[in-house]
Amino acid sequence: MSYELLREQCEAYLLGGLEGEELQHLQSRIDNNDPECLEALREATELVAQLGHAAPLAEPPALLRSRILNAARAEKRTSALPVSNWAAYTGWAVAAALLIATLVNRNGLTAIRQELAEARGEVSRLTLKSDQYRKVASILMARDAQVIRLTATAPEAPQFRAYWSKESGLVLAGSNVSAPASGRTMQLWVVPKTGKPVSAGLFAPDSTGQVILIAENVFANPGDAAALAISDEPMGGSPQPTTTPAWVGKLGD
Amino acid sequence: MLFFLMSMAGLGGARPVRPVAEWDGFIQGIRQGDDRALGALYDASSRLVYSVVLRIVGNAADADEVVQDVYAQVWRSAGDYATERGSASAWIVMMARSRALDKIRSRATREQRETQLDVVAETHAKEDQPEQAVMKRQARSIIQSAMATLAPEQRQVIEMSFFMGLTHSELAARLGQPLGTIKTRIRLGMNKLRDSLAVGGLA
Repeated sequence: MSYELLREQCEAYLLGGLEGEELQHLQSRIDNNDPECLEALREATELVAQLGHAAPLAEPPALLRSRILNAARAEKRTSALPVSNWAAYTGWAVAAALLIATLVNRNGLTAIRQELAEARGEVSRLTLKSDQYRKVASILMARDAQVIRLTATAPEAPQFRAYWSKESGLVLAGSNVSAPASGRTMQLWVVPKTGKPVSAGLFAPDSTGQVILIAENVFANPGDAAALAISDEPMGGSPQPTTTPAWVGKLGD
Repeated sequence: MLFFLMSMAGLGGARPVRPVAEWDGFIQGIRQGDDRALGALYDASSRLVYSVVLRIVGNAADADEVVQDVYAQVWRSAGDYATERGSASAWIVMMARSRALDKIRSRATREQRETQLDVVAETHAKEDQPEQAVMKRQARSIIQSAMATLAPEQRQVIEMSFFMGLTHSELAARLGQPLGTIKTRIRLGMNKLRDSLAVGGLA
């Protein structure tokens, strides 16, 4: 077979047109890394891919970029978590500790038990964090996720951002957020188009000022909501807002 | 800790659509887990990828999903990309086509897709930087000019192959033509396309 014919077969192969013996023969050469065939396939790929430019030009939705990048970042962070290693390590640690426990005195056993309890606590925290990342990733990757920016009523205050998917839930994120006063907490509200605000959860920033709040099933349909709001409330939260919301974000803005 | 949630970059400008070494550089960055490289690749390629996918799947909702899958696959499998197998742009376009065809094959009926294809409207892209817009227009113009040199029956079978993923036998049945005729049309059309694109500097 001439090189030109081989290249034509590769083009037909890439277009999905090749069938039967021709397909089997070419596939076999590709699988065997036949150098001539791979070169023909490379050339054919460059040509066939150019056909993509024949598609009418269309603009991707503006939110698609951030959804893709946020999903990639979330995936990177989730995969970096050593949860499974921790779990495996803990299994061995428990077995080793039980073995050691039979060989040590009562005081030593108490100390080992305490260390085991701490190790289990650490595993639980890591597992919780991993689950949280996975949940956030699923919301960000949801096709119907919409972004709601919550703007502060006070100047210089940080902005919150919420991502809301009917299928996957609601996540609120913020950074550089100041801690509420002693005995107080921050409360997220879903403000429906009609009716009273519904609590979507209590939160406070961590030691670095970061906030992440995952709220699931807060509302059957985001389309029924008019806005999200955050207010300062007494510790334990309130059934309805007792202060003027410090942040508000309208849906659809 | 979760600062990434707050970074929502705006759309960047488009890059030329012809195969460029720049895309290979982005892939290298992605291999090292650099999400900025993924953003740069998206800015350079998303209009082409989205256009191909939308043309195949026929509706915006499915196109969004497929395009998201394509970049997720790029993110996860950039390490599998081998420059000796072809340019990064060809790799991504072919991946987008493959994912989009998978999507329509999973649908219940092809009739629905064909109806939708008829109503896909061409939308105009956000303005590019002037030199990028010129290069992009030139590239598209060369491709479309090359396609225009094909006999209508050649263009028809090539477009149906690429955008509908039909085999030669399916094309023959669909068009009521002998299998040999379909193969000849595709072969002659692709040869002519290669010659035209070589003259235009794109192949």
